[in-house]
Amino acid sequence: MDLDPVIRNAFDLLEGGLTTLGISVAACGIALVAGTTAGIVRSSGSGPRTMLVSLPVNLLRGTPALVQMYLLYYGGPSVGITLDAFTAAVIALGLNGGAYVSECVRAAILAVPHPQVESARALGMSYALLLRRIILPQAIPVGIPSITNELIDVVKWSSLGAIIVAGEITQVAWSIVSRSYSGYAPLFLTVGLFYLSITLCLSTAGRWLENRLTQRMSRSHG
Amino acid sequence: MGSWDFGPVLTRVDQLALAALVSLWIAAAGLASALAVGGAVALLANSRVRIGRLVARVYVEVVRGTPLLIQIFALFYVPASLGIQVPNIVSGITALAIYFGAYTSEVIRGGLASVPQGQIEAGRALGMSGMLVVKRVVLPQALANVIPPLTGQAASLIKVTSLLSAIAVNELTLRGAFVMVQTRRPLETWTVIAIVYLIMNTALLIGARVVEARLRRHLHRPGKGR
Repeated sequence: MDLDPVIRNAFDLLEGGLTTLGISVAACGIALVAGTTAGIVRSSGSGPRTMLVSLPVNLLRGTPALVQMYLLYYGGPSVGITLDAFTAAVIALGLNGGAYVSECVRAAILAVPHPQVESARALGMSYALLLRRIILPQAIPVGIPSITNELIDVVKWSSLGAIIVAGEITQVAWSIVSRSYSGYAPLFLTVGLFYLSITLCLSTAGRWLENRLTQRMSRSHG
Repeated sequence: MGSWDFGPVLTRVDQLALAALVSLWIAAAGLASALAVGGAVALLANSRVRIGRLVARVYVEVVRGTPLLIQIFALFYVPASLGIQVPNIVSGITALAIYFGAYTSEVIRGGLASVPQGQIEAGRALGMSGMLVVKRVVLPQALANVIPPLTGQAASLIKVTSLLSAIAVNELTLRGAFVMVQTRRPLETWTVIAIVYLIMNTALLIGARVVEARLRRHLHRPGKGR
């Protein structure tokens, strides 16, 4: 295969790759913080506060990320929120990912055996202390595989930034092939391998973290 | 500016409804072909041939490790550059089949693995043929077990049909972009589009719950109580 189109555009691709990393890191950060918060609130029972969090989570999960991005990027200016494409992509993907992360967090918290929670409450622990001492140490190792998967998805969906011209690697490749009408296979293959290497790194890191935390858990109990 | 006015968008709701049907149709075609691909990959992954298992594993890792949009672009542009003309809707559905095939293969394997091996052996010991065991023992339980994860796949499919707008498939999101330009009401347009997707997904979830309840009806095991 002719790698010339890749070599000729190496600088642009590199820049796009860095932008992809930037979008991914920022969006993953938002997803983790928003998702963990929402997941903890939603696992803490029912009531108006839980409903208030569940509604946006379900709206984000029930509609396409692309439409959410359009709503923010094109619809935002009508309500005084004007964002550049990069920021719009980061916020839309971060919130979208956060909705999925919150489900993982909630499931992991609910996997902690209920009697433990009840006995801690009976011993007079506050919910914050219960969360820190009983729930999170057990829920985190359980939640890591699914949360890693969601973060991998955030990296993959960062490619949607291409559609609003956020300057990331998919858009770079897309604009090169649309300009030159050539180099389709080598460019898309290169970009695909770029994403594959990131996602493989993330899944390996996730497995490593899971093993470590599980080991530490069992050691402190043994 | 500033005040909401859904009027211009709502007068075009017939266009949007038609485009929504296209999205649903694409999602259905995508799901059916993803099931075929996923079934084949699951067979390969469970086969006794080592190279087959390796191929299945690499397929699943590569497809799940790269963005769907890249796969859509590759399947749309690369054949065209080689002089093979494929309609964009066909290359789009093929991309969905390949992408979701990787996910459904795992769902199918999980569903098959969820039937206890002892039941299959018991069926064989009672003199049932392999086919009969599959029909009477494996499938009724595996089907009920794969409905929830498959519903998740179908819900994702409905949402990601929106990506086919990038290769100009005339589905709901592309139509939305036209309506946005025509009405100059981006906020209202995308709100309405989001609601249409939400309605489609909610209908899917309700339908899936009904199907699952029907499939589970005769699966209550005596002695387990309920």
